[in-house]
Amino acid sequence: MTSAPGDAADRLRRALAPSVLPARVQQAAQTAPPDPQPGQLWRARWEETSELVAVLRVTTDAVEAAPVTLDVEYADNDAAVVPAGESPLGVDTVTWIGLRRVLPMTVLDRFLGEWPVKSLMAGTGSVIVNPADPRAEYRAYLEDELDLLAAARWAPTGAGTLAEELRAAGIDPQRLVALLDLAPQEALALLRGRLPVTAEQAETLAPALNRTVEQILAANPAPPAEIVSLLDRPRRRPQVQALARRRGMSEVTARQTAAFGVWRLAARQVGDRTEPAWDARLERYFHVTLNG
Amino acid sequence: MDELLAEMFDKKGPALVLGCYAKATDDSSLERLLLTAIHNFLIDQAKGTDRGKLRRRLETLLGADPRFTRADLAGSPGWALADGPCTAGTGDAAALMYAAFGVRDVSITRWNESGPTPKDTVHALVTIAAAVLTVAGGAVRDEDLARILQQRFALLTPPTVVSLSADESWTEPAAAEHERPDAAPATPAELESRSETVWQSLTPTERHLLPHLGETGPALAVITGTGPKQAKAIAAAVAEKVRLATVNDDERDETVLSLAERCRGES
Repeated sequence: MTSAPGDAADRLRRALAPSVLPARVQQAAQTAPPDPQPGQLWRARWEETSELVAVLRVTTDAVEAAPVTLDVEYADNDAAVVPAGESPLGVDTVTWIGLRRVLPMTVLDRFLGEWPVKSLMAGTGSVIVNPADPRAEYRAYLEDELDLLAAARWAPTGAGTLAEELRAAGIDPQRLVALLDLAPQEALALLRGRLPVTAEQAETLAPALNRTVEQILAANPAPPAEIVSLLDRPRRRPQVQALARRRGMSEVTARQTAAFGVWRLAARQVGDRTEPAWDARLERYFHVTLNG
Repeated sequence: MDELLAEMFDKKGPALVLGCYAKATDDSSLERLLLTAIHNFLIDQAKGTDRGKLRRRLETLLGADPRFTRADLAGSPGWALADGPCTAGTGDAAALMYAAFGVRDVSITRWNESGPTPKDTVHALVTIAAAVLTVAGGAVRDEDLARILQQRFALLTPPTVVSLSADESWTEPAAAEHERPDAAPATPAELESRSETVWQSLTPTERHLLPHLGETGPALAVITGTGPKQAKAIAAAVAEKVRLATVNDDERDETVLSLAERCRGES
């Protein structure tokens, strides 16, 4: 493209020149995701929903976070505008402090660097004084997005009544081993309510229990809280995403598959009386599954 | 095309690239983000053009009115009240906006593309401008005054929001050249004409929504294809636009009914 300085093509070229990602953003995205800390910027993602959020506070399995947007013209008095010169992203940004929400850690998807949460001052935008102000709709849109992120869950809750139903039907460990082709430790874990059945196993059990497959799956116990918590960590997300891609499944199903896979293997190897080292088991599970 | 692209990347380039990088999760989300960015940019452009027209209209109207005078605000042209200070006003943006929305008995339902501004439109613009300048306690930049008036008369504001409810830009309603000479009840044709003017100012989404304004967020969300809170916000904006457009209408209920019927027929 040849053009004289100042004409449209020249302006287009000059305008595109700074359109590169700030080095610190590129660097952050290329390293392993850290544990969430206050003062970080993340992409939060769940299914089709994707928003930038600044982490304000961290608890065991959740973060309190405020959405961050690049549309400064929509900022209201509840938001803090950070000018390009002071923004780690190098562009004008808005941190919607008034819309901060508790989000499950599982939605944190991509680390984008540090964020100056301590120096944020809400009130840089003006008040929305009328419902016809387009900013009212923008704000409501962000609230909807955060509602979706806040409601993100993947771990089945499970009624946990399966063991009781197996015992009530007179199914003992030996019969369970024969019916489902299980290791004795697995059968014991099932009868103690420490292991779920798969959909295939539920199909086999359905006539014996006089229940539908769906009823049996709903009676499964929930996976151990520690597995859920570990799989919620951002550092596990790339592995979950790789598993989802490899098997052509959703991220939710990939997490469930990993959780049940590790849980089942532990029951087979050590029974249910010893608390397994779940983190190390998860690491091995992903290593074998993704590299096997 | 080069001009448009240059303008877009000049104003939005880094934020656009960064936004896509940070938020896109796959090819289709990248496509949605890019299309939304381009769409919103075009709407912003249209809004700027409308504001430019409004500024020029104010130039004529306020320039001819002895209650107003020109002010120079550090190189930016502004307006002030002739009997007040010509230095920059001290009222903050929110106070000025409150002042604009605080004046309730004026409205704009007609707007000529060329030729004289309809009498009630002149009255509405001048009244609000005076209220804003009074609260400012001094001069206000042309651009800021036009922005406030644009927001106050929601019919002049194209829908803009990020997501996607913004499905068409505002176009000025067709001119109604003749005002009704007296307060005789409106004929069906007049009612239809008035509701047509308001109808023209609504986006397709807003038209679908209008007959359902009292419904819950989840029910509205089915119509708008958005989340429930956004749907409620769009509904509130539609209600306010219609209210502002009919505030001076003696047969407001009839006009709104006629409008609702028209919108229902479109659904």
